[in-house]
Amino acid sequence: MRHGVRLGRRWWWLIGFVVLGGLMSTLGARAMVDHGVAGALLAGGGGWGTVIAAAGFLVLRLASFVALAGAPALVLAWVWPRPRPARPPCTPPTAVVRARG
Amino acid sequence: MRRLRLLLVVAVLAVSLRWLPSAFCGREASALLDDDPALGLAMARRSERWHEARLSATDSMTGSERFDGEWLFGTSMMAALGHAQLARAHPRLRDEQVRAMEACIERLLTPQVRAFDRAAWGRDPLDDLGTDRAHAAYLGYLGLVLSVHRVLEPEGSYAELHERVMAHLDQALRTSPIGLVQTYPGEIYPVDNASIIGALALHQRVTGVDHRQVLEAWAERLPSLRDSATGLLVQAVSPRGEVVDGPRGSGTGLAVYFLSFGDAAQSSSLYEAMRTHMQRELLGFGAMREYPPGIEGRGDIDSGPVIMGVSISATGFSLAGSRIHGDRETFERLWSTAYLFGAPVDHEGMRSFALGGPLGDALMFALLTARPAGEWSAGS
Repeated sequence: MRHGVRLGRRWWWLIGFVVLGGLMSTLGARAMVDHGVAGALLAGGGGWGTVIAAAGFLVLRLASFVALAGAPALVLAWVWPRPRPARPPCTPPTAVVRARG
Repeated sequence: MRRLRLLLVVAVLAVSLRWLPSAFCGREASALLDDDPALGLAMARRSERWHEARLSATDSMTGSERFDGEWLFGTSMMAALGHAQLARAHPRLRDEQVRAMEACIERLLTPQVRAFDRAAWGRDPLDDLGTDRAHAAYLGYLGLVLSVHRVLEPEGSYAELHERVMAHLDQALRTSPIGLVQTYPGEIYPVDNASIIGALALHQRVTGVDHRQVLEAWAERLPSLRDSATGLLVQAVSPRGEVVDGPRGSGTGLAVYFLSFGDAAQSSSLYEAMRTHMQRELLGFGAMREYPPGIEGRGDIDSGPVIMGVSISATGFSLAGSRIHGDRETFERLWSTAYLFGAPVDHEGMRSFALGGPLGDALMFALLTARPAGEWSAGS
């Protein structure tokens, strides 16, 4: 008898994307504020490092929202069992014996 | 069975793509529309923190000394309007917000903040009061802030300066052969004139000083400053009154805000043009075009980057327009976009926008606390 629910690897990936994506997006925004990335970006200071930090942050933020949007459909696809392909009709053993005959 | 499963998964994906991210990003829209004091205060505190940080023009280098100065000026000017609006929305916060507004005015009056205008005109704007040099870049916006302050504090300490600035702007508009005043020598922007009109109308209302001649002349002039096809405001005209930069979302969106202080009907008419011709939507996220449909153009210092036809400025300024004119649906969509790309961060009781910086935070503070149309005209 099984106790509890065991989640497969794909479930952990999904949870990771949604939760960590959101968390990283929030922490990233906080880091951007703390380090004055917006100010540096507007100022044209900080060089490519600033541009890459801001672009990376935006990509991460967009990805986390895409994960959020895709999550319900993925959950549905995984929870609803995939229909199995129909098996070929079973051949009765007597017919096999007769054929070998 | 297999087909039904596939259809259902695709349907759920479509519905969640359409609703989930925009609903998550827009979840504070109702609180903002209903003037949640906590959100307003958090933005006010952020602006005060920037103020305490003693920004200088070199903190916002745009590559242009003039634009650096404009942004420094704009940071204090928009923060001042934000504080005034918060004071107006929440009487219990009035005293503290008026004090914060006055700190912004003090900053606006410093030689350091006036420097960008002085550099362009070769004369200090406050020394030039009463002359034929309009200094709309500085005096037009300072005038609006002083008018709004006068509504809150009719006997306040800036009353005398306010009178002088209003008399100067009234005279400049009355004597202009084209009914518009210059922002910088040889440069005329209708949106800057809209700020002056808002300031003069408020001044007339609070003090009874007669600006009817100028306000009526503006009302007659305004249709010729609007694109005949869309009703949008043109961005710039020459000293002879010819259009040199056509209709734009950033200028129209900002004029909607400034005119709401003086003439709700003019503001509403421009907002309607924005809503009809410039609004775009994708998956529940709203944005505003910079150029009218069919016209492609590049971004500049007014619009910010223009991506797929929409601009940061036109979209941001329309947050105020939709609030002012009670367009909840548009506000919700625009706020979802502002949340997604602006990335607000709450910490230490303050709200900052990760991609905002000092000017962005001050702008969002003013735009997200803008008062409904007609409220300023209803008296103090």
